[in-house]
Amino acid sequence: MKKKHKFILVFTIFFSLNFYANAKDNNYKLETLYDGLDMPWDIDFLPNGDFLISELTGKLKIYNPSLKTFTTVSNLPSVLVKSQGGLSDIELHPDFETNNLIYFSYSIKTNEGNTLRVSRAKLLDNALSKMEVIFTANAFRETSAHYGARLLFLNDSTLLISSGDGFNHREKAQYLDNHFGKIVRINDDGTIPSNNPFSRKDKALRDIFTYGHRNQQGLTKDINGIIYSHEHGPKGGDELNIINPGLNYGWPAITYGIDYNGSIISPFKRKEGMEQPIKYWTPSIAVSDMTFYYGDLFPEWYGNLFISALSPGDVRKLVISDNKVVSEDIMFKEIGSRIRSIKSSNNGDLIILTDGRGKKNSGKIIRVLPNKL
Amino acid sequence: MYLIKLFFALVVAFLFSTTITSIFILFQNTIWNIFWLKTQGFDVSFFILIDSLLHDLRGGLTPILIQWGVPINMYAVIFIALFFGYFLTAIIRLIIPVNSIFSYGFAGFLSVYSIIFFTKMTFDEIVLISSAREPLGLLIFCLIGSIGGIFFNQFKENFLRILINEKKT
Repeated sequence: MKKKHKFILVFTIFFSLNFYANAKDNNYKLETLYDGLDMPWDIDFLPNGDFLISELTGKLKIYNPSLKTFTTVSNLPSVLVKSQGGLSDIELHPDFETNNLIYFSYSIKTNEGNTLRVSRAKLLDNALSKMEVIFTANAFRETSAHYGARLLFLNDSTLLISSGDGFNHREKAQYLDNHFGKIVRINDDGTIPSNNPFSRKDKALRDIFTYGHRNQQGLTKDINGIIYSHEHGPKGGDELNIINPGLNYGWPAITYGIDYNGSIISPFKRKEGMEQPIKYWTPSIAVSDMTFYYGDLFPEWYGNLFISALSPGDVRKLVISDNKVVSEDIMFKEIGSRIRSIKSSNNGDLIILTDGRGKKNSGKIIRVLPNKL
Repeated sequence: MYLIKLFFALVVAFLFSTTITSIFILFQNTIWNIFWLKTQGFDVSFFILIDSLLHDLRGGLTPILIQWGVPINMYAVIFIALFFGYFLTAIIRLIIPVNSIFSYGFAGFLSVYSIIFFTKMTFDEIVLISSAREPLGLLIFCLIGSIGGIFFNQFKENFLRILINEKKT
């Protein structure tokens, strides 16, 4: 065969394979449901199919996907809206259908400094009532950064809360007398479970579940109840961890990242007694949220973990087997924007929020649908 | 000719003293972090220490993304801060004759403090130099600036003396 023909053959095979790969990946289509949210941070789904959406700027909204209408929930508490602070995560109580309780995290300003707070309230007729503060982090700081602020109900109806290191206070993540860089576990009424890992340790806060975290912006559990958390690294070193009670996740004593000014934070990446991530990203992708997919619309994605990322703005689809990440696919790059949240809805859709940072009211709700629909 | 030599002496003194100040600042940051790791039970060998110090000297060249999008590295931040500090001091000393060692030492102190002040303003209270987050670390950080200012004054005078002596011979 002539050289020229060989080249054409190889060229054709290469592009055919590439096209096949792309076609195989594009088993979905993206539908923008709404464009105009103001820094949306989290989404949850009400039993009637409506979306409950928090905006960092302090509003809680209910979106009806059939009518494409919004209602703003009234009676929210005063929120410190500054930099990374604001109204953050929302979580329905596992028995929401009977008690109408929602839980939400937000930043507040106090005389001691800024910190993270979690409250619960009844959501009735688009308004909050019977509001109770159930947690205020002992993590007061001048900065408005690294609040963590993710919430997750466990199968025993206790609530996990991620509390970030406040940026300037990273070393405190290694000490148990504060809430900087911790995951906290409380009962649904704010009391502290007696079986928390440090409940009998001297000088330790009894609600601490794990420690040694940086800025944990993703908390989820799989179908077996295994808890996953991801956190922002500094320059490099974003981590995905499996969370088990009482463990130390190492920040800032061990890390795969370096400081923003280019200096080392620690020359160590491992230490006995400190947990290793099951996956880390260098350079950082700025992980923002995550969800396991157990819907019917995409059977090939069943059990995969979807992690949203702010930089450059995509979603990582991870296949996890035996607590190890066995593959990673980069998805939804075509959205071309910072992806703040990803959740699996009650009817098997994947719903994505873009935060539209830098341009007011440009956050979107995007639904991922099978291509055949 | 004298003015040219004065200018040359100032430039060389500035580059020498600012480079030394930058190295001290970066080393302080490294040693501060290493010291904390020692308190956490890490066995930091001499090799790791040297490797970390060298890493951070290189790391200082890494651009820090300032909020308005201008990439600038640690050395440049320190150079700019000290340049303005010494320049203002020189002008003030033309009006008020203050002891040169004291005035440049004070200028160095304030200049490096201004780095923290302005980064806090820019990044919403965030202190990018971790060793300057604690009061003691901040004091050491500023004292390094002060020593840098004294070095600048001494270098400037010594270089000028050398240059003028050359002229005489």
